[in-house]
Amino acid sequence: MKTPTLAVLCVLLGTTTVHADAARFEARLSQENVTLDQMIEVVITLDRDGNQALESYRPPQAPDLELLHSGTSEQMQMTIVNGRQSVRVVEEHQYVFRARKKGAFQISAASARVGGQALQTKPLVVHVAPIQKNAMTLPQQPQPGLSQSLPPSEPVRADDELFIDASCDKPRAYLGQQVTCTWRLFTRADIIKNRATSEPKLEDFWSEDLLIPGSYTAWDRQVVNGQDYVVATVLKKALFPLKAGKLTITPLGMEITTMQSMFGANASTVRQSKSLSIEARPLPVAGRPPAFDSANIGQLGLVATVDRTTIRGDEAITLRLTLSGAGNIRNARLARLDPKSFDGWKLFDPTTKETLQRSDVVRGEKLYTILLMPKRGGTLTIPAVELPYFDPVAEKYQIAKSAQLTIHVEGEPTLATTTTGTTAPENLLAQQLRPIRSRNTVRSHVGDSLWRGRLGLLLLAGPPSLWLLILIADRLRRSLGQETEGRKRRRARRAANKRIRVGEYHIKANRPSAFFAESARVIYEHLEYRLGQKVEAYTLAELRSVLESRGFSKETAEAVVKELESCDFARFAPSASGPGEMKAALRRVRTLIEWIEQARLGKEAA
Amino acid sequence: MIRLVLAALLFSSVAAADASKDTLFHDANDAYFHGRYDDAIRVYEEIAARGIRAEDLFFNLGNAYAKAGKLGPAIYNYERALLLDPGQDDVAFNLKAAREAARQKGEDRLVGAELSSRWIRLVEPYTVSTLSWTFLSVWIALFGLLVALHFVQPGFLRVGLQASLAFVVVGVVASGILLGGRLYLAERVEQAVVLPDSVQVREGPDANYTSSFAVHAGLKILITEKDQDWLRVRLANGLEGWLREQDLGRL
Repeated sequence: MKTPTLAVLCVLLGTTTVHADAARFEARLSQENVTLDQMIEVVITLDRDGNQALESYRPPQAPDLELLHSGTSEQMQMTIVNGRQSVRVVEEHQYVFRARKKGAFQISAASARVGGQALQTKPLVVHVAPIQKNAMTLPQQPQPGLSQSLPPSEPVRADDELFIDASCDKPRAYLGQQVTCTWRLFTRADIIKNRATSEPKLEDFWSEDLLIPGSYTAWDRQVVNGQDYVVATVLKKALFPLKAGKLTITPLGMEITTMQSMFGANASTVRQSKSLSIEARPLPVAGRPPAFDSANIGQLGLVATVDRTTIRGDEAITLRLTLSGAGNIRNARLARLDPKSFDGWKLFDPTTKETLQRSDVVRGEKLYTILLMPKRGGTLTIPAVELPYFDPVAEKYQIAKSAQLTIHVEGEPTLATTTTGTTAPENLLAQQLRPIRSRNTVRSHVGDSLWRGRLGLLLLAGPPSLWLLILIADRLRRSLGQETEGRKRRRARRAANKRIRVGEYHIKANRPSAFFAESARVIYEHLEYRLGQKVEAYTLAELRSVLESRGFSKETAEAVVKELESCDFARFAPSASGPGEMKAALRRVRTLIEWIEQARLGKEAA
Repeated sequence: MIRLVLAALLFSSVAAADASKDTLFHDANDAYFHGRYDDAIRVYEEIAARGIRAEDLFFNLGNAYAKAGKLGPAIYNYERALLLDPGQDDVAFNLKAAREAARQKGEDRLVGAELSSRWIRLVEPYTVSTLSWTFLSVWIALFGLLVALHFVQPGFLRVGLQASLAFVVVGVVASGILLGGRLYLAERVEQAVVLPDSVQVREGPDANYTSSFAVHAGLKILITEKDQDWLRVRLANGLEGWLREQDLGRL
């Protein structure tokens, strides 16, 4: 009984040792059942001995899911047991997916090769259900500094560890009324850096930055759907609609780099906010003052001050009209002052200076500084100046009015003004101009008529046409200069006929030796034309084998060799050949020439 | 004989017309030099009304308007002069000064309204003529190189020709795009300059429509539509509205 117990113990110990050295490779799914608005997190863990090398790794594949993010972290664990030191490396690959549609989706197995051993995880299946509407709303508890601008019913996405929320403080506004829109970054990861990849397009708005992009530092915490998020405002703008109707603000896109582990593994991801829409209402017609300027919208006031209330006749005073309040101050403006209402004064054109305060509500002041010169002595008044404006909060037109001021002018002005009531300023531009051209003639510019006439077309079409002509002409020239098979045959036939005619002449002159030499020449030349090589140097036996190897029939090769043989014989025994022999030989040569031409050589036959 | 007499009469009438406008131009310059800017403007406009399109005329007319304190027409005429020849330093200088003066007049400006589209700024500094001849030069060079390459055997010269061809192809594409843009701007895009110091842009083609916003002298805008004597205009920042034709100088 003792022996089997020890054996079992040894086996167990051995197994434990082996298991400790073996690599562990497994896949883990955060949730098997998710909704469409939730993310799917898959963690692949590879736990291996420090001595085992990771040779390859293939991540899991999920073609039906959208990969939002991937990252890797690595830890080393060092243990010393009974004086034996071991190092284990734990590598974690994290993948975050999002489903595009409901259903069951498979995430394929990841595989790795560690120390020559192939490992594979189990494939995973995730079930995606439709979105449950009540699971997407923001908790109603107020968050300091953050929830003030967020309407309570505004839905916030909570399907991700990182998202950008965009919201405006009001869904509809009058033309020129301020709408404050805020873009906030919600994150559960550690953000290292971020940058805007696409700014919202605000073509239909006059916009003022309430928070300069990239300058935010204030982070806060907020709970969304039970998840704890760190939140920062990344963009905040005051928008003033410029036209009536439904106006759209395109999404803000950002690239965000997050830290995945304390070992420095980072991942970049791109997020985009939703687009926003504002319904801009036109200003009411009822009650609109005649002098109303559509740029003056908000809660505005107008104050008039002067630098002095008593001046000498030859002095000027400075009238300061301060237009201030909440609204688009940069765009707001006073109507041009009517010189007739400034009786006894000469007005100079105003200079303006504006100061803006960009808190949650854009406010500020616009200072008009106007120089006034008295045109007569005594008590003069500066009339009240009116500024009709539309108050979008009260939803009615109002008139801001400055106080009437009284100025005492001591003595009569020395500078008499003949052009009463004019406000023409000194023309400073006139002094800066370069002089006119004092030529004696003026010639009309001919104009850019190149493309209206034929010249442009000619210059445009000419070069490519010329190029094509040259190409065609060159092709034609090459084609004409090329040696065709038919041309070679005709030339060889002409040469053969010429030699045959010479042979006929030798028959008439009874010169057998010269005739047979000419006959042999005809046969050799015709063979050379067909074979494309010199053959005269071959012996007759070699010639026969060459002819047969090149595709001549045995009969033709034999006839050629036999005829050449008889020609050789006759050349060296001319007395044996009379005119009859020569005529018969000539017929045979003619036949041979036809056979040589008709023979199907190896390449042709193929 | 009759033909000769007719030709002589025609020639003499053309010569007389030329002399007449030259005399007027001289008179206008004289009025300008003596500070009679309104007289100078009247005479310059009379020459322009005869269909004379000359950079000298438009430049002088712009100066006369600027001296008379009428910034809108001054800017308009400088723009006309630059359209004929964008390389005129003095016109560009005076245009810049006039625009600066308009900016300093204390009027409120619409943000982004004064900056033309990027493509317009890219092609506007060149005339159609300059771009046409540039394009045709590289076009001809392209086919010249193709012909040469057809005949030149492989070697150092052929490699050089092939490298040149690559540069020329880039030149053809770039100058072609610029020329296309410039022709489109000249033929299809109607631009105009605001003439009065300030004018309200209406929401429709009638004075009874409410005003959307105001534009000021010298602002360059695009014309997109016409309805009788009203023009629908678009600013560079996307704002649109209607203006009377008489308030605009069409380029």
